[in-house]
Amino acid sequence: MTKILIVEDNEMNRDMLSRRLARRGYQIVLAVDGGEGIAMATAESPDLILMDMSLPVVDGWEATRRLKAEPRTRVIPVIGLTAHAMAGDREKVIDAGCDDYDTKPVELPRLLQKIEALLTRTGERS
Amino acid sequence: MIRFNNLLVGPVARLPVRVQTKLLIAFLAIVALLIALGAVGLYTLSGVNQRTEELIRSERKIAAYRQVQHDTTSQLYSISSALLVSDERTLDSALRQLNQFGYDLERLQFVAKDEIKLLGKVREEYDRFIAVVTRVVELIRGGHVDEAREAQLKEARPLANRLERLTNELVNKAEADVVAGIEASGEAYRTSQTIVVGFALGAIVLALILGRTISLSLIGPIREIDTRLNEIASGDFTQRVKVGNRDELGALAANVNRTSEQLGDLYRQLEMASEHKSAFLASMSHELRTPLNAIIGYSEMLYETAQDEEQDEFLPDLAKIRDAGRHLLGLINDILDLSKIEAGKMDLYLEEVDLAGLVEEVRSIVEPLAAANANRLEIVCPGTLGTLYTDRTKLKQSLLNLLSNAGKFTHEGRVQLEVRPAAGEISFVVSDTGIGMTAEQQGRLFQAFSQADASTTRQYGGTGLGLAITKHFCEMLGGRIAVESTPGQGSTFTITLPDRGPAAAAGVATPEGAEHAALVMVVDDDPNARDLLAATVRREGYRVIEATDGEAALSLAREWRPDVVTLDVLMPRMDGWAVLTALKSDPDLAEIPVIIVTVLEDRGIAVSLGAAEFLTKPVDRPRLAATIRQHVYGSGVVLVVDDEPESRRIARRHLDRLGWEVAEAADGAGALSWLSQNPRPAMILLDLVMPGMNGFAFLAEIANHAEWRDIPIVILTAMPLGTAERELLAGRTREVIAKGADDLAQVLRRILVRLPKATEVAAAG
Repeated sequence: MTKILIVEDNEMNRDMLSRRLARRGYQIVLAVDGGEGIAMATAESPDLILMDMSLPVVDGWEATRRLKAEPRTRVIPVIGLTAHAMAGDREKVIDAGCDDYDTKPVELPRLLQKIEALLTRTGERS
Repeated sequence: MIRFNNLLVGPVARLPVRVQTKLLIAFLAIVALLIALGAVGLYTLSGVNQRTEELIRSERKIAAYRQVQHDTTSQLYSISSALLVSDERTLDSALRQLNQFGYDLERLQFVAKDEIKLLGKVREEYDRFIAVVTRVVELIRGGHVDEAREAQLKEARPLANRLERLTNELVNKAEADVVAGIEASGEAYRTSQTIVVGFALGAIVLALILGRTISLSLIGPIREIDTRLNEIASGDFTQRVKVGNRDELGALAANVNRTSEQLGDLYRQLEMASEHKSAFLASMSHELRTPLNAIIGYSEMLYETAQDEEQDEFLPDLAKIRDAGRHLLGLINDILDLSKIEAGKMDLYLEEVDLAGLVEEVRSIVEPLAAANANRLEIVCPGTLGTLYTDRTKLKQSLLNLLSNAGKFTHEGRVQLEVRPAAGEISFVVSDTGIGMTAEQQGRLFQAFSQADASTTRQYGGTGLGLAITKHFCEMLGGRIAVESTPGQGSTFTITLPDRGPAAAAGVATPEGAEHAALVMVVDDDPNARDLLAATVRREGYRVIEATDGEAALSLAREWRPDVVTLDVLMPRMDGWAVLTALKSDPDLAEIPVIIVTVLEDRGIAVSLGAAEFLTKPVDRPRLAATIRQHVYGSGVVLVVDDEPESRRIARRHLDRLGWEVAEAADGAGALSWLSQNPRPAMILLDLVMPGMNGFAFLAEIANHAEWRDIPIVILTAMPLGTAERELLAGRTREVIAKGADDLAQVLRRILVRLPKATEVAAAG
């Protein structure tokens, strides 16, 4: 079963995203800030991470950089989520090391497409 | 004279008198001098006149004396004739002569009134002479010729001789007077000449001094105030005008200072207000979006649940909640976009955009919208579209805006997107068969919050901001948007963009450093790999040249001297190793860092052949970007010396982005102490105006230390520099950057590219 780590501080967003993805057959693990996200990524070895970029304590940018610097976690694809499709956000998120990017509020079909695309890619590589 | 003048200017400036009064006094002084000059001239002239009169009088005296002498001689002569001839006629003539003599003597007495004593003697002698002559005439008439001859010889002749002596004495005296008069008048002329010339020169000098003093005391403060106003115009409100004047100019200077202070306060308030506004907008939009996310998300979930559990009666209501939420979100996003555009904070992210992919993405989004109003969506574009160097997000948003508008205002009709490449530009034409617009409606079309008609908002929805944003985006991308429409028949919107990116269109924001950006050559025979590399490089703000094989790479490298080369190894004919060897053996090209980008794992070969870096494909884009950045801009520490924390923060941000470390000091003394405690920095970024030790003092101090003297220094200042200051700085610094006026990021990139690279990075990676 594909395991997805959702790192999101907003309770409602976390609840919605986890329930909607769970309904589509993914196993979900949750983290509420960047630090916990890194810990969970190391402990749970998820197949993919959905990373909110604006997080308390350790933000998504920093968490992604640390994940990508660590050999054990760098292979896990990360989709960065930001609030508004600001021009340039995409570039910044990709530069921070994310493999893909989407905006909140999520459009589920689009997000699912991106998740599947990344999972297929990493599946091929490994 | 100049020093004397300067001594004078200060006191004149400080006189507590109005400028008008000062000028009046100066003019009056000059006029008084002219009047004095005239008076001296007149006085001299009257002196000359008097001497001339005296000369004339002397001449007349001499003439009169000579006449008397002549008369004496004539008298003697006529008596002698009478002694010889003795007729009545001759005697009468002698007596007439006597009358003439008397008359001339009267005249002499009138002319020479000042010679009373001598003239008295002359008179006495004359009277005696007359008496003798009369007696001689009587004797002749009486026939006593011998007696007459005796009287003539013994009395008349000695008397005549005495008279002649006396008159000669008078003549000599008068002639001496004439000579003395001529000499005196010559002397007087010379004296008066000296006085007149001296006075004239004095007047000129005084006029010059007065004029210079007054004008300097006026011009100095005016120049000072002008400099100050220029500083204010360039945003520096901290300086003060220092003017000693206590006249209108002093008042003006005080006024300028006061205004500058007020402007400075106002400016700071505005800056703060603007920051508050931006922060408010950002936080507001965040605060608004968070609950909105929940509304949209949960309504979508409920919708999905209702679908799954076939509770269809809930679906329309749930869809309404979801759509209203999405509409509100669109509104918030549009307002945020527009406020960013208006604040000039909307940045461009340029890349090679695959047009076919973009059109397909747009189609997939618009198709359901078009279907909602039973419209037919048609896409017309040539088979091969290629790529366009532009901002993908903004172009997509613009097309979506136009197409969703077209779909909104058209029912059971046709909505069409046509892509038309042309020479130098490319057009995106969005047309519909909808309700169209009148000319008057078209005029208001691109203004914010203005749909063609206020009632359309209620009927058709939408924020009324989409077209305003679209127009801004098109202009940012170096293009334009046009509209044609006939009411009842439909509308056509055309976006036209330059096909070589915004940089090709004049006067449009270019990607950072486009013009001066470092040049990267990408060498790869595989077009896809080359495109990907080039796009990555370009997105980092560099210029790119692409070479498709080894030979082209070498000739392009010679022609363009790129700052960095990325080199593929497996290429037909001449492979990457051969290209690398050729580059490193050419002394002109050997210094260019070469980054090997290959699927091979031959790091050892690459390093031994002189490659600066070795990356394996598929290439990690951030890693490639960082590697290029390091080789283009080098790395190390820049010491930023500036008293304003905000300026230091801006410099730090730019340098950070280029991979440089930053050390900060708030003034010259702080910088010196940093230098003494740390290894030498690669560069110093120096502000000039600082409290404590300012930039100039710091430069002077640095010059005394051999170990720091050659650290490259770049001046970053808000102070307008004069020629002298620029010359002073030119010898010691690399470049002078004007705060605010120059694009700091761009200038720093240009300077860092040229800085000697402290560390080669062959060991890294």
